[in-house]
Amino acid sequence: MRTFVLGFGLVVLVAGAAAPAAAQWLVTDARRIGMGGLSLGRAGSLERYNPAYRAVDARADRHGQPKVTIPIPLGIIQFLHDHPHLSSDPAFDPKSTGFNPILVVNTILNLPLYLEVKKAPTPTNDVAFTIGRDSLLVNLGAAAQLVPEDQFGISGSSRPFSPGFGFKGFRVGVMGWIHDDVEFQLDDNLLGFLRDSQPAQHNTFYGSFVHGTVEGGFAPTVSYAGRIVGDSAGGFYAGGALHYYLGVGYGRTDGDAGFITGGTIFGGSNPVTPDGRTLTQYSKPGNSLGHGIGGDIGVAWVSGPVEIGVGVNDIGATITWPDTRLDSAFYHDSTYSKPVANHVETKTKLPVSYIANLAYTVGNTTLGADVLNTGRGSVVHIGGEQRVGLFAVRGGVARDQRKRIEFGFGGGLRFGGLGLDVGFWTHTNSLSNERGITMATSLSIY
Amino acid sequence: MRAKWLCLVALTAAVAGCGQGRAIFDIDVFSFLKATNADTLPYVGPLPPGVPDTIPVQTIKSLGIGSSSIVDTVRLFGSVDFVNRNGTGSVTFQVYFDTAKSAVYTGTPAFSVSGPVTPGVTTTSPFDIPDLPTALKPLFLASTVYVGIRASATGTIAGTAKLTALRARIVIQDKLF
Repeated sequence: MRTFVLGFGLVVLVAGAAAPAAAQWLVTDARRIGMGGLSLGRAGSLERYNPAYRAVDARADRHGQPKVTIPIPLGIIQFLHDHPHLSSDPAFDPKSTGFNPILVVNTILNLPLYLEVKKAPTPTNDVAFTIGRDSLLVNLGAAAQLVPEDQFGISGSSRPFSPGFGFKGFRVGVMGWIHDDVEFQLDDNLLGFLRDSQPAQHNTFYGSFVHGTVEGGFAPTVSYAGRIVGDSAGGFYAGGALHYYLGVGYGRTDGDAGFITGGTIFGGSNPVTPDGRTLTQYSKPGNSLGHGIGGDIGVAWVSGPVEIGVGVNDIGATITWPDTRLDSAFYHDSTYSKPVANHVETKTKLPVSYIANLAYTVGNTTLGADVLNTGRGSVVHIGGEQRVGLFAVRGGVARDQRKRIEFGFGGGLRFGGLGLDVGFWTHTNSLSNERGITMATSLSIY
Repeated sequence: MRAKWLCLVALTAAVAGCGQGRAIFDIDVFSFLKATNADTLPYVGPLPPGVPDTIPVQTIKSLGIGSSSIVDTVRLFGSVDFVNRNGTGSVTFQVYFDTAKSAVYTGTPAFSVSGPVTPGVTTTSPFDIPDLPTALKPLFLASTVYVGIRASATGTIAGTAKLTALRARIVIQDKLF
């Protein structure tokens, strides 16, 4: 029972905290962390989201860009020191009285790759429940602010592989693609009950909207990237890619789930009834492949100290699934499921992602900014680096998907072809509305 | 189902909110007893053979958190009126809890309230038990708790014991945090 309850709680919490988590990233480069997440050079998001950057020279001298970056995972050492016997650690065992869900969630949301130098404090208030035969009131105190008011969830669009070959700017290859999207939104009743301590009402549904999609496949791709005008010192670059998406499988569910209170809150034999309904549609691997056409475009302009780029991905990427099964499910006291249709055509749409970036380099100073939107709101990074002899000083700010401002700062030391970098980064992806600070370290080979 | 839902809401919220905080449950036990008219119990002394001095055991769905949780304190407070019709003596009002229905009245009462009574007078006896004995605390982790009330008379008296309030404040220190 306890495991069930804690499991449910953790799901809610992980999902609830996922929105801020999605706004962060697992960056392995301390330089980038020191600049508030800003991508400079060919690293990070630029080449992924802007096909023109495949043709832009890396120009290591311009951005101090290393060839290879190797993270130094001090956080793992710290974590293993704190939890030497992980398999038997009671803090991670739901059956133990020492089980610590806060630690579990925070470990998931803040993978211990880097050192957590300042942990975000979590609320320490008591939580009170007032219960009577016909009343129920929950007072979360200060913790109520953690109950998400808006839609929250996780989504992503990735391209895990892209082998191919090219000639004179043209490239032919096959790209793997995966899109996932999980969303929740508490309804007004549940929100008022949890966040505003409103008493439970009779015969009322308390629930949340639930949506989930996962789809994936591969896409034969033809692309081009090249310099349209200019020379190696500067010019205008353009790139584009045409994808023929082939979907291997997908599943999607939409619905709501929650509970309905009884005529008397705790009066009857079964005063609270789980209630939910979903429409699920899926095309399993082995069914006819989904198909669709989409494209990426991007441009980049490099002129002296200035570099500007804009890239857009998955334009018009609507996938048609010719062999889909639709099922409806309804739960109220017992499960009731009914096939709606089979072998029907459905469509899904990949989110359009875009990036815009600006960099300005003069002497040993590089300043930059970028805006990245992967379908769930924009993330803005502004940062810079000042190199002084062997040393580099970096700083930056970012606005995450929660529209919260985060800060990065750091520095580096370079000996010939080897560099050691450290970066500090504030984050709010813990179960707290206060910031924590992560310290990242990495080795760079130039 | 009731316990599961309550427990689910409780711990979800507790997990969401607590740092080093505790989960505190303020349960109006009286409201459950009153709904089944189990808040009133006649007393007679000496007790004639075959006349019960207890109420039928009542079922209350409790938290059902599980035995691995730790109950820090269980405070019980409220008030009982002894509405005495005739006779002079004293009445002892006892409340029992157990997780086995058949064992409710065989165990030790969770607490007792005594009061002298006189003819035609209602005696109000408030009570406040700061913390139940340690052995009884785990009872409140079970999903079902059975409650019993006994009213024992000393002297030749007759009347009615009327519970007017009974609340339980249960503090869970689950080491969740």
